[in-house]
Amino acid sequence: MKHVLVVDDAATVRMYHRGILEFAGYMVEEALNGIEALEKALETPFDLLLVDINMPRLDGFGFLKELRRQPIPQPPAIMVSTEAAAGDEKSAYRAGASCYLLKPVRPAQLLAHARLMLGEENK
Amino acid sequence: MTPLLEQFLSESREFSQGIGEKLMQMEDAPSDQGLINELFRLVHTLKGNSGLFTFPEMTRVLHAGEDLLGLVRNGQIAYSRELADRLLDAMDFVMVLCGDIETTERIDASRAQDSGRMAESLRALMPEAQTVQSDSATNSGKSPKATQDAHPAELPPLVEVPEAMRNEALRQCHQGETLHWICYTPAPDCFFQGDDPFFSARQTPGLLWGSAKPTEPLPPLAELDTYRCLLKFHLLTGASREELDEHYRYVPDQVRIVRVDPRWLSLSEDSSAESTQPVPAIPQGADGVANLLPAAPLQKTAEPSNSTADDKAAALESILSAQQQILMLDDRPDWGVGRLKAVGSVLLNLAKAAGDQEAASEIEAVLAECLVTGQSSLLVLWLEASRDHLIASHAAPPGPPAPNPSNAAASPSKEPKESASETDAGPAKPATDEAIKFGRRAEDNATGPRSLKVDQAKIDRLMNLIGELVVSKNALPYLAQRAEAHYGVRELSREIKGEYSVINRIADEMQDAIMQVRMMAVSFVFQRFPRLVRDISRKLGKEVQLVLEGEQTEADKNIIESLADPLIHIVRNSLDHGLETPEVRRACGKPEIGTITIRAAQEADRVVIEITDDGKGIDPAIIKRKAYEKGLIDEAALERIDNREAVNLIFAAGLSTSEVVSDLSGRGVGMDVVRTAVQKINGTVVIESVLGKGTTIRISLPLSMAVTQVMIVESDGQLFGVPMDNVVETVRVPRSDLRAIKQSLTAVLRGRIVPLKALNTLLGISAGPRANSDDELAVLLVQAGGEVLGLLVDGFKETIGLIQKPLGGFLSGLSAYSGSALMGDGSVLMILNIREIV
Repeated sequence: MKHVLVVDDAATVRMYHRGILEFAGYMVEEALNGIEALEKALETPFDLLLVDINMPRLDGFGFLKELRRQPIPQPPAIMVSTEAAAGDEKSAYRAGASCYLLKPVRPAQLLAHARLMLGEENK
Repeated sequence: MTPLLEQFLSESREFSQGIGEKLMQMEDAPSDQGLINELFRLVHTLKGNSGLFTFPEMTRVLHAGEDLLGLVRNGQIAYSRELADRLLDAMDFVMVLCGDIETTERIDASRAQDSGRMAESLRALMPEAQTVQSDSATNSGKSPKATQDAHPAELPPLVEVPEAMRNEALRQCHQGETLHWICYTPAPDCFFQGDDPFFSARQTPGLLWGSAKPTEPLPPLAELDTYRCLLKFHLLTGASREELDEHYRYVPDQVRIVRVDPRWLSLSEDSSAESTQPVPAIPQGADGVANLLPAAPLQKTAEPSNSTADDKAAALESILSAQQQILMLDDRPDWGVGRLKAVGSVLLNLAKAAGDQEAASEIEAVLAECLVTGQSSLLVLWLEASRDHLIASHAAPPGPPAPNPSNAAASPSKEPKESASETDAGPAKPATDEAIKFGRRAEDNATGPRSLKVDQAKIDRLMNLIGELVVSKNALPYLAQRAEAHYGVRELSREIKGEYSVINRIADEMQDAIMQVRMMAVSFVFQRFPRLVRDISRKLGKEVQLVLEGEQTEADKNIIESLADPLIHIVRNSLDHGLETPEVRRACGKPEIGTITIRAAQEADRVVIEITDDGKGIDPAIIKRKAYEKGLIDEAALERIDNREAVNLIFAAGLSTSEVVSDLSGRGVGMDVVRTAVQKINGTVVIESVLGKGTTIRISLPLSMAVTQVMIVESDGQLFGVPMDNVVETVRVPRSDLRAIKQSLTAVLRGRIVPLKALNTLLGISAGPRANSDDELAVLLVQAGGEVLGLLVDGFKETIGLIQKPLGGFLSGLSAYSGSALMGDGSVLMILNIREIV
């Protein structure tokens, strides 16, 4: 079963994303901020990351940069943000995000991205 | 209510509260960048959350708040009190909306206007450039009317009708038919009238052509209020006037029906050679136009039905272009290798998802090469070359013919499984949005702050069970006694006692543990004070600084909760009557800013809360005079009581010292409310005041109400419990020392005359008090409401700690008892409510 880490400081958003991903049969783990996410990601390998930008302690950019520095298999990361500014998208890629989605992400949209990024055969 | 919505509400409340607190903190440190960032983050997150639901009223306000704070964060506008005020109002509004959602799961329709106003007032604080987009959203209420009234006499904009249609219409006119042009502008709130304008328009009899356009430029999606109708319809119909009047009979004020003059059709044909162009007569026509042909039913043009496939294609497109962008980045950060690996994972997975083994192995090879050289250029080249192939192989597999040979060859064994998953995923996917269940899991709590929200009833139940356990365990010593006395087995008796001590210890610890669960920090009550003090002092024109100390002090939840009202009352009083205005303070030589300190601390088994202000203090002379005027004290007392006692008279019922009755502290109901509330939870309250210097009010409360220490007394062969809080001391008084003053018995104890009352009399038991062999009477000195009184009882027993249960059912009306408790031998002990019986 595929493991997905949902990183967001808003419990509502975490629950929303979890609901969608679990519906599709993925195992979901949550982290409240970048630090927690990093701890979890170093502990267990995840197949996909869903990362918010604006978070306390360590934001999404910081988390991804640190993660990408690690000598481990690098999972795809979907960066989720409300910032529509193009600069943000670029920063997300720079930091190590694999794609960039705007909140609120539609369930079908999220699943389409997740399925592709997880390499799931066409269902 | 769904768990997701519940989660949203609880988080929204938490965040609104947090935002309020941060705003408050910013008053002291208006340029603290960390605070501003945090504040922005909270509002931002809250807005993001609201976007998951259809709560445009909330999103609109929060969006404005976020924009405003964004400007503050970037230093484009400065933090100000006004800004804080408006944001606080906005947060209050969010709370109100949460209340709506909690009760009805939707936001009341009447809030839309408030929401608009609120967002507007926030945007008003922004420099001009940022406010533009919101303007359209607010004046929309009037605009449909305006457009409607502006050109009633003007020619209908028939030019917007496609040329072919116009020619056809013209032909019909020439054949003698009468055509009508309808301009239907539904009222913005028409949905609430039960109207379905779109349906009405479609059902217009004899419809030849129609269009729907926004009445105003549509606001950004996040601010769009879906409950307001922003459409207007232009319709061309061959129906008669009567038919049309009948069709639109419910909305005659919203339609304008004009008979089409054939010349208009031909005229417009002449005047606009390029009739497909947007027409200047309709300035808003350019965006969001849905042209409707009569043959086709009116239909929203977006929302293709095949959304899943579209989603997938769009996702693939966006992922591929993201990878391209990432590979093209020209920075060389130290995490570049990891980033490259991530791109590799994504591409590899994309190939796998397409079942394209060939591509997958290519990617692996290219990636390995790139990782060795540290250059991404090879991958860029591969992606450019293979992009289209990858997209094609993604589009191919779902079809039964499986045109991609590599796919079929690579996974023949997977075919059945694939088609199986296809069928079960196929129908499920369109329903995705509805079918997903959002639920809370144990992990939610593990990842959240490591605390648990538990229904208080559950804890109470646990508490009761432990209470019963404590009681049942007390049966063991009796059993041991019986084993020895009745059955003569001393060994067994000793063993039972041994077991008892173990159970006793565990039960005690359990009781302790569950009490800890019920403990809450006073900060729960304190946190509302910064806002309260700020608002009231602003209203009164006073400058006040609030100091909170010992917020982490803990006490039982019930205690903490019942503390809130008295504290608010006291603080209001201090603000209202205690602290002076800045002018007065300056004249007295005090600092202009007054200080109120609320301090909590634990002292032995009690929590002490002190509220101190450096205001004008209370004049004992005024209190005495007022108390005398109201008949609360007699002339003798007026002479006798000292200043300290006099000040404490402020707690007497009906005494209000304020010379001006202000709207904040109300009339007459003064500090007696505070005293009553505090006494209800077995607390005491005293006041100390120095005229001109300030006032301190000290509230002392028990840490927990769960276990009550009671002294057991005997009267007429029955046992009663008296709470130790009421007990002053126990004495034995020789019958000869009793004095009768008028009808009442008294005794002189420690140099004071103490009135005596027989417990039997108070409880309506006819037997008289029984003396011991030395003819001494047992007197339990109790205090109730500041008075000391001697209760004549037959004898004293031990003092025990027990868990009181309130009297229920038919017994709940018995005010003489505060509750009952089970004793170890299974008997019931009634606990006296001393204040009630004396």
